[in-house]
Amino acid sequence: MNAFADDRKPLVILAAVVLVLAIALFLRGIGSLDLILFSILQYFATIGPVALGLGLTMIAREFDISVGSTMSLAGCVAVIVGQRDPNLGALAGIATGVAVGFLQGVLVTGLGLSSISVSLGALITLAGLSYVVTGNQTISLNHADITQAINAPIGSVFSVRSLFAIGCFAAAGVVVALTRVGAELTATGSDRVAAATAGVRVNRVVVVVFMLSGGLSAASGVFLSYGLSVASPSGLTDVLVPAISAAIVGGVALTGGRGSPVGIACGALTLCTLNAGLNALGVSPTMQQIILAGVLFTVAVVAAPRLNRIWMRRTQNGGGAL
Amino acid sequence: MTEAAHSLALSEGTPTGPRLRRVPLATLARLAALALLVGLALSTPGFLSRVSLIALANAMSLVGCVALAMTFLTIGGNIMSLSLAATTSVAGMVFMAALGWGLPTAVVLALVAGGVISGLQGAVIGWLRANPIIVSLAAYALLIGAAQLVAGPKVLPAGPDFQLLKGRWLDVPISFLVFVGLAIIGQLIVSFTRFGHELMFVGSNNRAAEAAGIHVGRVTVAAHVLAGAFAAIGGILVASRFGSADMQTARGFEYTAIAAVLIGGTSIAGGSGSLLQTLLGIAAIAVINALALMQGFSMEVQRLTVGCAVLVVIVLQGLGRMKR
Amino acid sequence: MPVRAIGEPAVARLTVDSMTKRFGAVTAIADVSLTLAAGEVRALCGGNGAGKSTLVKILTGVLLPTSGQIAVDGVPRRFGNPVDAQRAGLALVAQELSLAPDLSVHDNLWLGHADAPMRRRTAASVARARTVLDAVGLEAVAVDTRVADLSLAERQLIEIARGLIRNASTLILDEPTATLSEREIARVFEAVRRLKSRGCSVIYITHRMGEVYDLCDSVTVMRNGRLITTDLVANVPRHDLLELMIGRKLTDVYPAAAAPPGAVMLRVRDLSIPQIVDRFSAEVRAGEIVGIVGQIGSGTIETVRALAGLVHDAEGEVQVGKRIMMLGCSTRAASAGMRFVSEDRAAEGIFLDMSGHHNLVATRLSENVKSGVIRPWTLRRIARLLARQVSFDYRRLALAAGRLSGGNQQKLAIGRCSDRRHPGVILLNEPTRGVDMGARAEIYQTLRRLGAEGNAIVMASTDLEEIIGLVDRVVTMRRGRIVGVHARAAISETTILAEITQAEVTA
Repeated sequence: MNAFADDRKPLVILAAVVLVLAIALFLRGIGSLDLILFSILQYFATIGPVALGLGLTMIAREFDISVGSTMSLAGCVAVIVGQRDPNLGALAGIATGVAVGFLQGVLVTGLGLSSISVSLGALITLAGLSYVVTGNQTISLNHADITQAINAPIGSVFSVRSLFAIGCFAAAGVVVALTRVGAELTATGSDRVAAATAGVRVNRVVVVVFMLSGGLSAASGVFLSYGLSVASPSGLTDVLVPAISAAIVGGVALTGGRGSPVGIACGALTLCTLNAGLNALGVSPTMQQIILAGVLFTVAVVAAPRLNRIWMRRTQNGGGAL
Repeated sequence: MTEAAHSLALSEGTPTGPRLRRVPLATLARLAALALLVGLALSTPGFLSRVSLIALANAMSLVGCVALAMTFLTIGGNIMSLSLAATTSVAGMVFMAALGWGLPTAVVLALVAGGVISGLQGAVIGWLRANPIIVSLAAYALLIGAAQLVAGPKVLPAGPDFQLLKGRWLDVPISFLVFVGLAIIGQLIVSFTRFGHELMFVGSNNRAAEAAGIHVGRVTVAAHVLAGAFAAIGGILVASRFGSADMQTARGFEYTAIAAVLIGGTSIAGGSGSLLQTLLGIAAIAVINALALMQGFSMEVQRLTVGCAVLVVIVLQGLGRMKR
Repeated sequence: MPVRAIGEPAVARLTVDSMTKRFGAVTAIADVSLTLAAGEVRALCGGNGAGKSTLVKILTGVLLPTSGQIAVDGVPRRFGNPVDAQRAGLALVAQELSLAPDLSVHDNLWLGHADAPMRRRTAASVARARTVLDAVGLEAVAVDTRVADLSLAERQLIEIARGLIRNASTLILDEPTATLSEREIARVFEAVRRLKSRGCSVIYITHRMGEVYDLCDSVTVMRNGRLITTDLVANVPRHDLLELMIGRKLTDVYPAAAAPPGAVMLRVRDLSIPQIVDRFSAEVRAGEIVGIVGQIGSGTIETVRALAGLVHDAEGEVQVGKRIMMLGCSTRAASAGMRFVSEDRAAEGIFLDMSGHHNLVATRLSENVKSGVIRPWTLRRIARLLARQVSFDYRRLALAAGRLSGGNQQKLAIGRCSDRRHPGVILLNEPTRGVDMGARAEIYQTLRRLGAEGNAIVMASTDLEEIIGLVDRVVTMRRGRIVGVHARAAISETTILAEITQAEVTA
């Protein structure tokens, strides 16, 4: 059970956070709205696809903790290959992510391993691989035009990066809501055995979900690296905290079967708004990190299966239950 | 026994056979890897020299304490804690800051800090059944932020007593002695205490453990407190070695630690494992690293090798379970 | 529709030829052959562990057979996955329902349909869903309802509707009525008869004698993984059928109590669980075996779980011996003398990857500890002793429990409850689920022996045969309330069935 798992709750939370930010900004009377929206969407472009991939694995009752490393590796591969041909580089980076996801999915389904252990192994291996392909160096992309193009505002609030992220969410939202694939995904996470008995090819669903997770985080890594015009093997690992928070705040249940791309988008936007708000209010990066970590911690506690029970018993027995 | 039941029973695999004939694949692979390592070590000139061995012992002991700590959590079914290295660093900072009150006080305070930080996570995980990976990830981020806020980038020693822990006894580094001592104490706890046995049951199947009347929450908290204390000792050793404490030195220790735990043979699914095996695991990793260095491979390759080893161990464990 | 001579029908809808399935070293079914005609309703009977479920899983493509062939309408088939079986026209209404609780009725009906449209929802798909829902009598259920919000009976009917939506030519119903009330059973019968009239064949798995004779044309009996007999229903008298299933005289299986019961060991007053159990009260004496029986969802399982301290919101007064026990905490229940054997053996009953020896002593750690230090040799000795008591082969103690058969696993779970020095209350849910006949008899002996040692025994079971054969007293429940309490002499299948399904006794 996830206390956030309700179709409308992610939207309500998002609205609340936006409202608070708006009031705070109004009181301080600063900044151009466009700029703030732009920065929200830029951050959304980074964590959104990762949260989407991770969230999809969670809906299928799996968990891919290797998304950060995949993102890193894909960024490195893209920048290295992209020195000659940026398009080829982007393709190589994303292909790397998809391949990584495929391998993980096959291991999880083929051997019946828990996805946390497999993706943990992948996390360590991929981190090592990033160091090897870059030779433990920060590598820069010598294509200023591309960096420029990726980050240039479109319609004053969007950019290529953020439009790509929005596109991913839109595509995933349509597929999950309107095709049988969505029903099969939810069924796989809701009750795997029942879904298999009903005739859903659950193993295929899981493998595909891992490929999506790998591909989406890789795409995010590629865009980020191109946008920053550098890639380093250790640079991008801090994406896991916001991505998990976004997925759970977005209504994805850790027990599987609950959640939707639209909800995840709301969750991701909530975190981005929070982030942008803290930035705009001049909160120090350290304090921001503490607040974000606090959000995740709260989310973990609120999503804990036994929270209700202990709370109920406390109120019944006047606090003597523990 | 009826005839039918008897025939079924007979077809179940004879009692002595499996143990003699079917050595688990993972064990075989480990033995082969060990033989390979020993062979490589012996054939590498200078590996067995005094300097090289001392360096090896030193390299092992710091991250080794964290690996021992991790073993408790893995046996207890929580796979790993992403915050253990951060706990190590924070405990080291506490130790350095408290050295002004003397070595014993500083050690105790560091242990308490480690135990409390980890124990609180254990409480949320054990009593509320919150997801251990997410809780520890959040704790990791919190600790880094909080340490930065409270202590700044670096804590310098408030007293000189830490020099004691940097020393050697009969040419053996003190830190290494502490590490081996911890491994032995931890192993005794796991093998010969009620807590140790209950930890195995909880790790094997926490629902069955609860149904059998075992205090799952309490055991989980205890395992975390113990892990925090062991990690804190690691933190003390790290801080003493470098003469100051920060959040950077121990960064990534948790991954090396879980690698050592798995390579040592503790099951990632929980329910079985031993700290002495983890000691072997960390030794294997240290030897790999030392050899790679001496053979002229870069540090990057070491990371990749360890990662691949972890992946292979996880796959082998999965294959072994399927065979059963 | 009259059935042609069994074994050689003119149109064989389904032919199974010398089917065998082994799991590692364990043989689940051996050399099973059967032939099903179009429009035939075949009862498949057998006790727990007879191999029915394995056969069904092979027929529906969930398991691959070790050897043997399947042919549908004369065409040999090989089912690599459930979709193959579905395409061949076989559909299963599983005992553990195969519905995804988080999805809507519409999505569940179309879930896994081999030819479902790519669009999740079209006007046509909704209309078709509506039609099949109406056909099974679910007119009142909207297609958008979340399955989690439906009753068990409604879910059962949705499973049958799913078979209809797939145009199945052979429908396999796995104990469809175990969860239903009499009125709902009539609905299922109606649906089955409708299928039959359309030429659809049905394999109807049940252990209720009445259903075999009311609904089915022919019957196949399985026991211990083998096919015992196939015949027209008319040719098999009721009493013979029961003994064919069990494989021996009824009296050999169930031992009676040797001595009259002792002092009251367990006293329960007004045990309630919100929305599940309403004021359950009972007294159980040492040496007595009390059975709680009711349909799934009637609260029997939950009552036993609550007594074991595993239901957090249970309320009421429970007294074990002279001690009042606090509910909602398994540790306290255990220290009060409650010992629990779970209905879900793999998930909660035993530690699959630990040895038999460890499994037997899991509840005995506290008494073998001196200031926190355990004495492994005493534990080892206790494990051997317990193994002997439950007739578990002690040479297998070192094996991981996951490698043992269901019967041996259950012996471990029950052996854990034995403690001669401190008799207590032994709570069992479905004690012989997935246990073969031989081990069942041994388990019944063990339970009697545990009773003789001064334990009070409470078991919830949906296996009426076992309840009637074994227990000294039966408590029937319906919708969370006690309906009746009967002493051994007054127990009969018809009264129990009538009480738990709310039918007239005369019916």
